[in-house]
Amino acid sequence: MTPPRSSLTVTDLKVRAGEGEDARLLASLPHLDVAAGTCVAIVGESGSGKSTTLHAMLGLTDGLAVSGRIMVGDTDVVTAPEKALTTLRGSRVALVSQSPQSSLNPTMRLGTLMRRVLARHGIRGAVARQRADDALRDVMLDPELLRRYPHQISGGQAQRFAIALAVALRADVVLADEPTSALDVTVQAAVLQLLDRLRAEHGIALVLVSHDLAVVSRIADHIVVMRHGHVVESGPAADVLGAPAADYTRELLAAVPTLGE
Amino acid sequence: MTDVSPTLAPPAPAPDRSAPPTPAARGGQARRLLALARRDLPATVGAVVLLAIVLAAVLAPWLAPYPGDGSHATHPLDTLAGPGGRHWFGTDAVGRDLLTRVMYGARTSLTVAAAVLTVSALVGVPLGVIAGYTGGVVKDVIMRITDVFLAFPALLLSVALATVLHPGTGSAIIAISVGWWPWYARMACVTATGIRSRGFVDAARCLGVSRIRIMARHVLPNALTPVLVQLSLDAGGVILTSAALSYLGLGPQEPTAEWGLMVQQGQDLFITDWWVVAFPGLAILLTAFCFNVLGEGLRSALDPHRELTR
Amino acid sequence: MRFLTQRLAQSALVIAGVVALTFVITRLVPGDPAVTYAGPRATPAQLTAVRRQLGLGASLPDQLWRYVTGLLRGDWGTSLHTRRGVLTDISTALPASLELVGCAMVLAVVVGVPLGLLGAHLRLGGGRSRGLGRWGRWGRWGRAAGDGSVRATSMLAVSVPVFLLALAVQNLFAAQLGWFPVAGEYTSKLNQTSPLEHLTHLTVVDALLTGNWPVLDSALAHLVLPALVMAAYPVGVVAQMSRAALLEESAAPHARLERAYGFSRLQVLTRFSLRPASGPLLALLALVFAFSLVNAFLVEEVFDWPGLGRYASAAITSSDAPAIAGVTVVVALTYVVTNLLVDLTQAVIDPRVRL
Repeated sequence: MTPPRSSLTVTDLKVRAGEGEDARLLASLPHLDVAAGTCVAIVGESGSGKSTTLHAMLGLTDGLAVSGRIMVGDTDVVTAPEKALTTLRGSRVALVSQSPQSSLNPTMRLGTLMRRVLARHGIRGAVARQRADDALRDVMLDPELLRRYPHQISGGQAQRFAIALAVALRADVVLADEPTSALDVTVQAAVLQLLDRLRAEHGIALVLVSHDLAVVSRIADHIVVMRHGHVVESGPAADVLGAPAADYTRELLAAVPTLGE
Repeated sequence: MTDVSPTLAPPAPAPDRSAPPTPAARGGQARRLLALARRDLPATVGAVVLLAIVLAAVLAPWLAPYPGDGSHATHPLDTLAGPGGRHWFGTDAVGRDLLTRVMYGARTSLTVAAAVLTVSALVGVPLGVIAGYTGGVVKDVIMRITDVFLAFPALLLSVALATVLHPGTGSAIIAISVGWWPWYARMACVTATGIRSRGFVDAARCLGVSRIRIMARHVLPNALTPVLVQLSLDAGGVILTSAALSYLGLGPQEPTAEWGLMVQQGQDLFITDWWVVAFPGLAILLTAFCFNVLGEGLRSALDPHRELTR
Repeated sequence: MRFLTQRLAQSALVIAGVVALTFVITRLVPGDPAVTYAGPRATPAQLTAVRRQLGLGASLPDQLWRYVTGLLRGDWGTSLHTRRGVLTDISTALPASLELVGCAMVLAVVVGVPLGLLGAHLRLGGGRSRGLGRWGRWGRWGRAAGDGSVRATSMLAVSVPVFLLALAVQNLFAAQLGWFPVAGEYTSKLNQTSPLEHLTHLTVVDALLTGNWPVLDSALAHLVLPALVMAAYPVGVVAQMSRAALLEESAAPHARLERAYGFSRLQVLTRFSLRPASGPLLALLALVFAFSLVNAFLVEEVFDWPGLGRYASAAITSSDAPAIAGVTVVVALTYVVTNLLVDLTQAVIDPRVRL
């Protein structure tokens, strides 16, 4: 068991669009602590600010005003210079995105992408090949897949490959943005299981963003419910799911289909 | 049966989802246009300059300092006078006021452009809609014919045709139109193919509305928006092509004032009397530039997908 | 493979259409070609002979058949104004035009794409990530101005009438400043001292191959101005298009993933977006290539360049139908073939395109 250390800490995060009086609050998150080896889920409907929050954690909020603190280790993503951020992205914080297939460059073999990403973080040659092979095996993909182009693989494979990128770089924090919404139900379960296993095995701090409480309930330790840019409810998964405090959470829970219904 | 179709008419093209419908739709539209104008300054400036050019062209007989110089007047004592108080743009080799001729030239160029675009759209769009909506063999035949015409760059086809027609404004219009319509056919075909599969067309078909009526009332109006944008984008190209044709001596003939022709007539004097070439030349440049800027602005305004590429 | 055969068949069909259309146009030429050929003072007997020689007596379908088979056999008719075979004329004139067009296309890629890249990069905010960055408001203004001037320059380049630009450049840099020769392909006096051996009819290449340095020197000096003028439109269009295509690519989902894995904006543009964006760019280049070949008509007129354009102008003034038809067919053929090549290249660049 990895000792619990805080991989990602968010304090007083506010993301606004526009400046001065016209500024519109897109997302605010008073406090969030994601320890290594745990999974925090941010739940909400589209436009709730959950994806914006996620992108803020990568420092990828182009044209938006961000205030507060987002600590990854001892780097503050909000104030860090761009150069430090480009090093941090990928090697410390990795993204698994919503539409796995279109997120992969259509003109590039998976192996080329993997090689370039590793090289970007100073991993080259035999070490890089070893890392790639290990990562692929870890997500249960055939290394032969590296020779293929994105359109030649399935959505599930694409998402596994995206996860493999994070694994190969040994990222501490993995941000998963609706990782299963574009996939078939059977594949969804497998991808979730994979994320859950990697979290446990590699001590990854996993932030899972979803509109679907059912998805989240399977693997989250802690759940944050967002609506219109604000946190409606936040607490341990068991509490939020078992005894929701906010009406909105109850609505979301009621929307989850249960077996036999 | 046929009186059902009006109720099936699709919503007005390009509904703006971001703006909630207001009772004062017209006022809202004006405000939107104003907001657009403020956001895209270059396109607005282009539109204003174009308006000035159009006005100068329309009002040339009244505004031009020497209206008689618009055609074959000659002033042997006043040849090649430099730009100055009496002749702002100077005079040409036979003493005609160049400002006047540039204004009359705008009449010629804008007429040619308007005529070419109208003819091309009138021929191309219906053909494209028929091809796209009918599909199958009809589409194949129409599109292959289009491909043949597209294989000739517009100017080449115009040159070839203008050679065999008697040179003049009319033949320039015909020659350029022959090279221009296929673009509209292709574009309308693509749009019509897309519209064919939309719900309201199926609904109309199920109700037994005739094919021609469906095409005319449902497909055509929806295919028009992209065509309108393309028309404004193409106006600059037509101006340039017609100027090039005139420069080669294949367009309107003396004494008609035409910018390309004026450049050609003045080119040997360029070194000594620059204004003879510069003003008509710059008139072409300015007009084409404004049309291009305006067209670009319209395209990005009407196509939200291209928002970023502005 | 099926796509390839289909594409080839389609091209063949278009070429057939091109030939037919050209035939129809040339039949519309006013005046009697026989009179044009034989001269106004020819006797009726001479005219009949010329008519037979030019195949004018036959019926229209017969003439079309003769025209098509002639084209295939390499007999493109006799030019009425040079009195040589049209194909012979074209094969000496086309290389000179291709020299200009080739330079223009190279410049379009070498200058146009980086310009578009610069515009896109500035538009996206340069190296800045959030807030106003180190340069504050001025940096933002500077970037907007930079992108704006890229856009304005390229818009200007596509809006300027090419003959005006040719005249202006010739007047300024050749006539007034004397930096470059005014017109021609190379100084004709050199034909006496160091005659050029024609291998490819591309003057620069021939001079290089035969080691004819005086001619090479002169040819290069003569090439600069017309080539630059020819390049204006292609550079402008390519800059506009590559800027738009790159911006579109950088908004695609894959660009976010690449940035999330540590690549800077500029790296995403150059190393990840250029290739997917090059599909539409190549198609554009094919179009611009054909367009430039016609633009050469105007530029050659100004610079007295012995290419296809000057040949065509001479043909136009003398109502030389076979020559006009020949030029028309050649340019259209070039267009069809270029397009075919582009499609094949696209299959290499974009793995989603299958042959």
